[in-house]
Order: sequence, then structure tokens, then C-alpha cells
Amino acid sequence: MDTNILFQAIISGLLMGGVYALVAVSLNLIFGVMKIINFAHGVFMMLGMYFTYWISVFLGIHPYVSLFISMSALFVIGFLIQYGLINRIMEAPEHNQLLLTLGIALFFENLALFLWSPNFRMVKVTTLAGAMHVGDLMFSTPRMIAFGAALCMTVFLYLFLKKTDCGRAIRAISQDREGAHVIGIHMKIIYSVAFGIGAACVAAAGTMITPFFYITPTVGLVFVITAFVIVVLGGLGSFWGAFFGALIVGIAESLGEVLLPGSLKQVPIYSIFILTLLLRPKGLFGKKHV
Amino acid sequence: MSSLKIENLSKSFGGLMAVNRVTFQVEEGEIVGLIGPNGSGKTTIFNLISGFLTPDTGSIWLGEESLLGLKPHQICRRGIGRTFQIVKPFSNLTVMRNVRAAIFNREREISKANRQSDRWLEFVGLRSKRDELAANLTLMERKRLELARSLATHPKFLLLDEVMAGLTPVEQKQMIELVKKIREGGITVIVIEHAMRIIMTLSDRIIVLCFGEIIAEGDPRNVAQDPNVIKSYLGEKYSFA
Amino acid sequence: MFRKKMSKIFFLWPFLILIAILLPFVLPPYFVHVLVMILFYGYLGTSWNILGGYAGQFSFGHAAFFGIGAYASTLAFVNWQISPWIGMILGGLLGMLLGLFVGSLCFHYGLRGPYFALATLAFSELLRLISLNLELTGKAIGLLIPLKGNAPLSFQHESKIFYYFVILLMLIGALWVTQRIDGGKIGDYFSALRENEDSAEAIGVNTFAFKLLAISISGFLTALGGTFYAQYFLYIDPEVTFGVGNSIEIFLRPIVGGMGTVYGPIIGAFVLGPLGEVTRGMLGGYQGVHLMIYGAILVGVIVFLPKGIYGWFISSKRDKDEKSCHP
Repeated sequence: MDTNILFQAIISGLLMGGVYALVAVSLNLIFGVMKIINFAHGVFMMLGMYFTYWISVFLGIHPYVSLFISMSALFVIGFLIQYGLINRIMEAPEHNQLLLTLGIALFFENLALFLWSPNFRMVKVTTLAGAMHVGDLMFSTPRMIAFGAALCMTVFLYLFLKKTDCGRAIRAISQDREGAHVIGIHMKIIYSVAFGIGAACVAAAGTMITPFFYITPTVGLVFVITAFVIVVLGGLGSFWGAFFGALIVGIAESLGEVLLPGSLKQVPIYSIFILTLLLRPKGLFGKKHV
Repeated sequence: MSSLKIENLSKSFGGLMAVNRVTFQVEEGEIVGLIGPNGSGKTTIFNLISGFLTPDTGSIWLGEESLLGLKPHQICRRGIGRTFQIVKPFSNLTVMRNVRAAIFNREREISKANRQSDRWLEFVGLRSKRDELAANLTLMERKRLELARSLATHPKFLLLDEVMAGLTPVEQKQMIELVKKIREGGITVIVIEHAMRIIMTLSDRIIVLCFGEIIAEGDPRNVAQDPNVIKSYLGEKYSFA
Repeated sequence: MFRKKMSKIFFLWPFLILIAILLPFVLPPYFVHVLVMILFYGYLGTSWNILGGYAGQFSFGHAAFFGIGAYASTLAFVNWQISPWIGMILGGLLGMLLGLFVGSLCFHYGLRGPYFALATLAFSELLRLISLNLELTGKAIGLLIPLKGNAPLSFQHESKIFYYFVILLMLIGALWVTQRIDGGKIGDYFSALRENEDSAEAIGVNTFAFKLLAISISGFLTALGGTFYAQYFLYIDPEVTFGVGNSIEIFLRPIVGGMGTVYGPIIGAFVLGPLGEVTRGMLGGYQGVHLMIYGAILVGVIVFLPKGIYGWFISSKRDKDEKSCHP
């Protein structure tokens, strides 16, 4: 096997891993805070991609510029979904929340299929396209930018949770629901903000990959399953677990693509997933409050 | 006459020794009280005996038979029943079906099982609530239900984990009477309790735990005056040693 | 009071049976098809319900059992000319074995709730990927069942009426199994371990064994459904058998109708089936547009009727009975 191909695979895997990191970390925020398994996460990403696409088609705005528009839109959507729907069933058995988010995912994914058809779309960018070459290795510019932006956002998210009042309130609630309630934090609002932020972040991830990733309504499904694998592998509730888990999964998937025929590249991922669930459900860095 | 024998039982969680070389024996017909401050390992011992946890070292004997390695449902079949500190009813089932599930161990016919359930509900005073959903019961009623359910498995030994917690003084009195009735029915009872007062009235014998070790054992009155016991409950200041 | 109502319904049974028998002969083929699909998903939902509703182990990967049944009978028929009827039983046994395998792993390691659901999803996805890449199963192209015309012994007929009666009998069979479980010791044990596993263990229920029992029965029945699908549509591929969409369609009926009840899944099927058809008719376009409505209904049911339609009906009746008994 040509070592160049391997290295190339590792690099693209790492770059994609950065994007997965943003997806996983934002999923983790929602799970860590609200113990909600958010199946709609992939659909938020898909919506972010479509927002970006339509803005670029109708207004000619570059994805990197319209980033904040798609993020804001998804923040609002996420906020409303939590506030109006999920808040009502916070006390219900766990699988109800899973089903609710699944219902939302089904609705949006098929609405998108209905409105925009399954045709693959791509955002055409002329600036900041292309690639850098170092020796025999190629670094695609949009992928690197996506990686960089995802990393930045992950760091921002981390700082937000650690340093801001709002972030601290979110963490307080995740650690002790009743205690936080007593202090008088408006839980419904906090939940909705947290959910909105999660949605906005994953929409950002979607936006950043539009220059090189095909847009289609079903794109969410693959990402959300991968995100869950990552979050379980890294440890539900663990920020850094999701982050490093994402990089690992990104590389594993990329290597799988070059080493295994056909669509079998997903097999190692699912296998790792099952093994993790069975043998170490806490994940690599999991916290106890899982 | 079979006895329940615990020998050198130890269990640690991630470096913390929850139960440390505990040894004691319970004879048929006794009411034994297991007391100690929070975190002294009482519930852990119950979990070890009933099979929900596996000990690191030590052995558990029911008569001549070792209970090590058995699953909880097997230990139940061998005659050891238990209740939980935080009651765990089958919320979406009726009270009667809660108990009936326990009877199917020994009785296959449904109509007979129904009758036996009613008998046990009568025993604990829940007969009138038979068709009520378990989720709608008060705390005291849930505790009665948990008792009825355990009793329905015909245990020889019954482990009661803080049955008095959360009950009003009147309810506690009722519960004490119920436990005595259980013993009169020929069942050996081991009770975990917090409050000294209740334990004194109820138990023939008391075992005191502290940090996973037995620090005193014997007649309730003597144990209550043991300086080690006083120290562990009330702190250094109050000990006479 | 309830008994009076029951005896009134009792009168209706012969009429219902007559209607059920005559219906496919008077309806145009399209409607027979709709009816077959309703009964089909009602059957699958009933099979799922045994594991998901009664035993309380929510499976997100029932497509695995479905697909195994479909591919087993099809491969047996195509490669060795084994009648699909026998192939169906073979498929059922494989489904049961798969259930035992997945169950043993998952239950031994104590996977519950969402973790179990995700694990079953992973297993069905693995099977999908394998069948997608295996020469034997036709890879992405899938398998065609050879056309035999009017051949009931080969589980094929040109008229949909044949399939209607087959699925009707299968459904009645599945309902019968569910009814036996619901009223007896197994049902009590399933309910106990569903409500609280620790308590169930403490009163002598071998929760591991009974969970395995649930998944075996459910897997067996679901696999039979896979064979039916193969023989009805005469074409199977990895996506339509092992795909996540299939798993979702399977558990959607019990949830909407009422998990853990005998008739919940079939009621869910009678609600979702026509709605799906109407939606597809009105909005046209691609195949899955009805899922949009299903998604909205799912959201609505979870928020407003978490026990499902039939479940809500039963519990509100019990409350009414209570109130009338305790004035």
C-alpha cells in the first residue's frame, strides 16, 4: 500500500474529524444538559446546509459569510422546538424524548425531500477553493477552513460553557437539576438556549462543509448516526471525549474508505460502536452521570 | 433450621472500601437490626446478600448452600427476599398484578395466583387498593406493596432496607406492627434502620456498622451504650472513652 | 357495565368476520393493496410490540429480523428451489437465532433503554452494509423473486386477494400470541421487567431469560413478515429490508396505537395506513412523502397521547370505571 495514500487518508480523515467534532460536541451539549438523545441533530445540519445553499443561489453570498445567518436561523428553530415541544415532555420516560426528536427529524427530512427533491446540490465557490500542496500530499483549502472553523467554534463553545454566566447556568442544570431549580434559574429558557446553541453549532458545521460536500435532504441521517457513535465512544457527557472521539472516528472512516471495498467503510465504525456499548458504555472519557 | 452466614465479606468501589471483612450470622426466627451512619455499607451488604453485587472476597451461606455467584432471582428462589430503600413498584400495573408477578414463582394457575395475591394484600392491609395503579399510591401504601410483593415469594429471610424512611410517626408504628406480624409468620427479618429508637423496639439483636466494619454487636441496650457506637453516631465529643 | 358492553361487541364478531372475508372480493385491487399494507404493518408492529411494548426493550433495529427473513427465503427459493413457505419458517428460525445472538450480547452487558435501541440500530446497519457488499445477496441491486404466476404453493399469486388472506391469518396468529402473553405468567413477567428490572429480579424473575424469550418470539415473527414482503413485491434490496426507514415504519404503528396493548399496533396501522395513502395521493412526488405526516403524528402522539390511541382509550375507560365505582 502506497504510504502516500495512507497519509492522505489520515489527513483528510483528520480534517473531516474536526467537522465531526463540532457535530459531536454540540450533540453532547444537548445530551449532557438535558439527557435528550437528539435525533434531529442531523436534520439541523441539513437545514443549515440548505439555508447556505439558497442564500448563495439567490443572494450570491459566500457560505463563510452567510455562516452567521444559518447559525442564527437554526438557533431560533432549535430554541422554539425545545421551548414549544420538548419542554413539555422533559419528565417523560427517556425513549419518549428520543421518539419526539425522531419525529421532528422525519418531518423535516421529508419536508426537505418534498420541497427540494433528493437531487444532490453543491455550493459553487470560486474564492478560497483549491488546495495546498506539501510534497506529495494535498490539503484541500475548503476542508482546512472547515477544520479550522470547526475547531474555533468548539473552543468558543468550551469557553462559553466554562466562563460565561449562561454557560455556567447550563452546566449547573446538567449536574444537578433540582439544585439549579432551587436557585431559581429559569430552566425552560436555559434548556431552550442550550438546545438552540446545539442546533446553531451543528448548522455551522453544515455550512462549513458545503463547498465540498454534496447537499441532499438525507445527509443528516449519516451524520447523526456517526455523531452518536462518536459521543458514545468518547463518553456521553464528556466534552473532550466527543472531541477526540470525533478525530478518531474521522481517521478510522477515512482509512476504512481506502482499505475496504465499497461501502464497507462504515463497518469498522459500527463495530467499534457495538463493542463500546457492550464493553465500555462509559466511553473513553465518560463521566459518571451517564 | 438454616441460618444465614456471612463470612469475611468485602467489597470496594474504585479504591473505597465499602464493606470490610464483615462476618455475622442470623438464625431463623430472629429480628436483627443493622444500623450505622450513612455510607457505612449497610445497603451494600444487602446488595451483596441478594446478589445485586458480587463480593470481592468472602462467602455467604444459606444453611449448607453457598449463595456466591448466584443471580438475584436465584437467590430469591432460595428464600431470601428484599425490599429497596427507594421503593420500586411496577408503576403501570395494578397493585394486585404487582403482587401476582411474585406469586408466579410457585403457582402457575391464574385464578389461584389471583387469590393468593389478595391474601397477601390483606396481610399488609392493601386489599382495598387492589385495582389501583401502583403509580397512584401514597408512600406508605407503596411500602406495604413492596412488602406484600416480597412476602409473596415465600422468603425464609427478609431484608428490609430502611422501611421507615419518610413515614410519619403513626405510619412508622403501623410498619413496626407489620414487621412483627411478619416475624410471627415465621420469617426471619434483617432490618436496616437509621433511627436508634425504632431499632431498639424492633430488634432482638443489633449489628452496628461504621465505614464498612462491624464495630459492635449484641443486645440493643448494651449496644446503645457502647462508647464506640456513640462515637460513630454523635462524634468524638460525646464519647466517654 | 363493562361486561354489558363486551357482550354487545360479542354479537358483532360474526359480522366482522364475514366482512373481513368478503371485503377483498368487493373492493378494487388498489384498495385491497392498501388493506394488505395496513394488515402487513399491523402484523409487523404486533411482532415488535412483544419485545418493545410488553417487555419494554425498545428496538430500533427490527429491520435486521425483517431482512434476514426476506433474504433467507428468497435465497433458498432462487438457489435451491425451496418453497418460500418452508423458506419462511427457515427465515423465522434465523430471525429467532439472530434475536438470541443480539439479545445475549446486549442483555448480558446490561444494555437498556436508548443504549439498547442504538445497539439494535447498529446491528441492522451492519447487516445492511454486509448485504450491500455481498455478491450472494445481489449487492445494491438486490434480488428478484422469479415470477411463477398463480402458484399458491410457491407463495405467489397474481391476485392480491391471496396475499390478503395470508397476511390476515398471519396477523390473527400474531394477535393470538400476544393475547396469550398478555393474559398470563409471561405477560406478568414481561411487564415486571419492563417496569422495574431490579424489582423483577428481586421477586424471582429471571430477567435475562425472559428478555431473550421476548426477542426470540419477536424476531421469529418479524422474519416471517420479511418473507411475506419478498413474495408480495417480488423484489428485495438492502435498503428496503435492512434500512433504518423500515425499522421506523415497524415501531411507528405500536407507538401511535399503543405499546404494550394487544390491539394498539393494528389500530396504529389503521390510522397511519390510510393517512399515508391520502398524503401520497395529495402531495405526489417521491415515495416517502408520507413520512412527513408520520413525523408530525409521532410528535403529536408523544406530546399529547404518550400512551398511544388505544392505550389512552384503555386508561381513560379505567378512570371512568373507577369514578363510577367510587361515587
